[in-house]
Amino acid sequence: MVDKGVKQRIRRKLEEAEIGSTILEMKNITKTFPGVVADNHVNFDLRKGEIHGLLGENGAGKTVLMSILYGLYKPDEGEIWVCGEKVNMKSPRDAIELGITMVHQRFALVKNITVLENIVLGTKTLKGVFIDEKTAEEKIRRLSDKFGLEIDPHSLVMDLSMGERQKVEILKALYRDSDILILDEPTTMITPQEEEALFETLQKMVKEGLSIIFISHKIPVVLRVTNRITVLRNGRVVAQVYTHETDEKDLAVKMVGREVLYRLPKVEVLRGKEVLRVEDLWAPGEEKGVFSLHGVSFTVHEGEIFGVAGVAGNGQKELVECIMGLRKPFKGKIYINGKDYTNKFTREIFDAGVAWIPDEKDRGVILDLSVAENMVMKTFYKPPYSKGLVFHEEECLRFADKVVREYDVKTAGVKAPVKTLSGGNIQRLIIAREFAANPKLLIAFNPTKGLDVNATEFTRRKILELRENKSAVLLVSMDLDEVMMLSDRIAVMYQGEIAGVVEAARAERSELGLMMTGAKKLDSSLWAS
Amino acid sequence: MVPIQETIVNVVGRGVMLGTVLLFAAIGECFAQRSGFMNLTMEGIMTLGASLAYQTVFLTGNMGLSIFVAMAGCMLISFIAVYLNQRLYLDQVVTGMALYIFAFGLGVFIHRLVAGGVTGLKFIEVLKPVGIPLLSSIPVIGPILFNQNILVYVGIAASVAAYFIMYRTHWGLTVRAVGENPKAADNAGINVYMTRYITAMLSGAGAGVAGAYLIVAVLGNFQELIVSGRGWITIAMVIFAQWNPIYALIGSYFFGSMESVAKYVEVTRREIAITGGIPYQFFWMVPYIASILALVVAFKKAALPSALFKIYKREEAISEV
Ligand SMILES: Nc1ncnc2c1ncn2[C@@H]1O[C@H](COP(=O)(O)OP(=O)(O)O)[C@@H](O)[C@H]1O
Ligand SMILES: [Mg+2]
Repeated sequence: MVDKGVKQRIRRKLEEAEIGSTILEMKNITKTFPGVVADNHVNFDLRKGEIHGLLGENGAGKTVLMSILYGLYKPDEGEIWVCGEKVNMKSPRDAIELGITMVHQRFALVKNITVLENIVLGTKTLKGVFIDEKTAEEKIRRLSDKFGLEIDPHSLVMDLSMGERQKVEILKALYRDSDILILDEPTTMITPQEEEALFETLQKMVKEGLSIIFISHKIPVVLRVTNRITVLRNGRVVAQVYTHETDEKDLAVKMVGREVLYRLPKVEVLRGKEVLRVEDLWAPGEEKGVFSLHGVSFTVHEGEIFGVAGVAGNGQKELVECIMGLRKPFKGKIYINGKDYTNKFTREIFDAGVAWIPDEKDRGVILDLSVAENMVMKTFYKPPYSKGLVFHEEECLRFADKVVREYDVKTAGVKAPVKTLSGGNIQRLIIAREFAANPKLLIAFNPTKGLDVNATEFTRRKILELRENKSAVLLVSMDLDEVMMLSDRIAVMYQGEIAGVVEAARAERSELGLMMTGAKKLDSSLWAS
Repeated sequence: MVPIQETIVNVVGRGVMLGTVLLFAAIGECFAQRSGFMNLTMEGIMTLGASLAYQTVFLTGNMGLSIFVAMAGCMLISFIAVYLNQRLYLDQVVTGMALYIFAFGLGVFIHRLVAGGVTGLKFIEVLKPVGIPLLSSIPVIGPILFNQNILVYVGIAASVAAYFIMYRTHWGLTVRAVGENPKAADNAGINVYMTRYITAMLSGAGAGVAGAYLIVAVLGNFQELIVSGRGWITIAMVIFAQWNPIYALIGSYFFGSMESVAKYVEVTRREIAITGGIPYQFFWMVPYIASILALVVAFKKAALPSALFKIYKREEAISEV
């Protein structure tokens, strides 16, 4: 789309449209990727001044649908209409010029430039040939005040917390005078307190006549903030309802196709002897002279799930990497079953009876290798799979066959490459491999990130089962609800330190939230036992 | 003037003149690398540019035209490089190397076709220094900076302008954003590919001027090894300069001065007295050693543009925005 005149006409219509009238329609949108239909003849519409929830579990096609609206993906089929005119989104530039802005789940900011530069990027705020920083700053400050988005325009984005980055993204949209804002899973990267502030900002925005598409897979959140909800399942719209006419249970059935258990049954397990002890652990960060861990100490016992909550990037990754022998600590000790395992090879740590579920990003499989090969990834060099220098494939296939059935991994066969499996089945494969040897200690890092409800439930059940079998579990997760649901004790990490440890039974969401932002710190003598 | 001071002024003044070769190439390369595209053909296209410039002067006698012909040739090769990378998604290093060899060979080939076969050696008269009134009479600085050929002044002006473009204009911000996070730039409505096309062509243009400058201002004659590593040094120096055109200017003059010192020692044959027995050839190594050291230091502290060498594909990248 190049015609400036048409765009301006549409913008004017958008601004003048009456509250409650339909301003945007997506008709019959279909988008396929090799092997998946991400969106299947989807219809979606937005009314002026509403917050429209787009609800669906991971992989339902929400992000793809909105990326089509934003001009990032080309649909195979379907049309987009804005204020009664058909438009063709070739790139985000077209969307922006029509008054549409999208804020991605993990944000899209340039880290080594300032907030102000990120905001004016792609706009024309000119004074002669130069960027007019003064005018830009004034406008940013005005918008910050009006919508409660305090931020220093001159700080570098890399120094900002996730919550602050989100503010920058929203300011970007406001700075461009957007009429329609798409927020992709806006609550996954921020703390409960920041969540409240975000919701207030959104209310202010709709009062000003903006319309918001709110993508989420969290039913309570969608129920709280939206006026209308469209539910996507497997790329199809399964329902469109007014928020006041539905409830949690109804939405869950629509979203997943069956009833979901929000509370998994958790039996009483007696805490046994100590399995993991981390003592005064310090670790270097990405930058020189900056530590990502500042003297972290804790213990995990048999039959216990020790949860570590916190906003991403507060040292969680470095902590699990140190324990798994993937990162060299600067100082401190790690004991497993009383033996010193600081700075040991990962293989030795596995041999000590440690299992490990990695983060989504490095899911712990080699995609081009087969299911069977991935299944013996930790043990292939030992009998019965290898004798001397010879690798016995039959043994490997036999073992893989057995566990694939046991853990119900859906695959075309054990020789199929892992990349042909869905995310949930890859997770089953990992769990099958890791749990097959009855681990004494499980390190789980964001174990359900990016998984759909079924796979999430499966993973959580398996972790709880392990606890019942008297294993110790260290659960490091950015998902506060998950930590609260599964753990026996909860530690909160903030800027490389443990801000406090509380018994899960007595933990308050708000208190944990305060610790996650550094607003509260417990005296370490309270938990150091 | 005391003799030692005169010597220093002469040597450094010549260093500035020689460094201007690097400077022209470096300004464009600053933008290219900053946007995520390393123009690795530099050494080859500078040779091509020098050859085209020499042939043009040989045929027409027009020095101004020779610069434009050189620019056009180098921009064409740079366009091919960036097209293969940004459009056909071929690796920058592989295509860069292939086109480096191609451009180098093409330059030499054209020379043999046109002037080389006819004359063997024909020198053209190089540009003369033009002193700037008043400024050139400042002690020390004056003769070093303000008694130079016209293209040296153009180089200084270009790098100052490039500095402001890089850090104060929207387009400069765009270039920096595209090299750091193309996804973010795309999401802000910026055409990532177009930005890289432009910066790559800019680095081609700079290399063309640099090649022509070697002919019209430095040597007056074309030889196969006329560029002698200056293209590679430019690529390294730009990293050392942190993609800042003003630092690139300082770096260029530094390397030019190293070359000039070596030349001075060679010409005056005073190696025994000055260097305590070190043969003058050692001084010829200095620019190369300096660029190795520069790279070691730079890579230790440099935050390379995060997207340097990376191919941006929209539909692949989005899932992990
Ligand atoms: N760039 C891509 N290439 C291939 N498949 C993709 C791509 N982006 C998304 N998908 C697939 O499309 C489906 C829908 O994805 P998405 O819209 O991201 O889901 P969600 O509802 O969680 O946002 C998923 O199966 C996902 O794997
Ligand atoms: Mg998504």
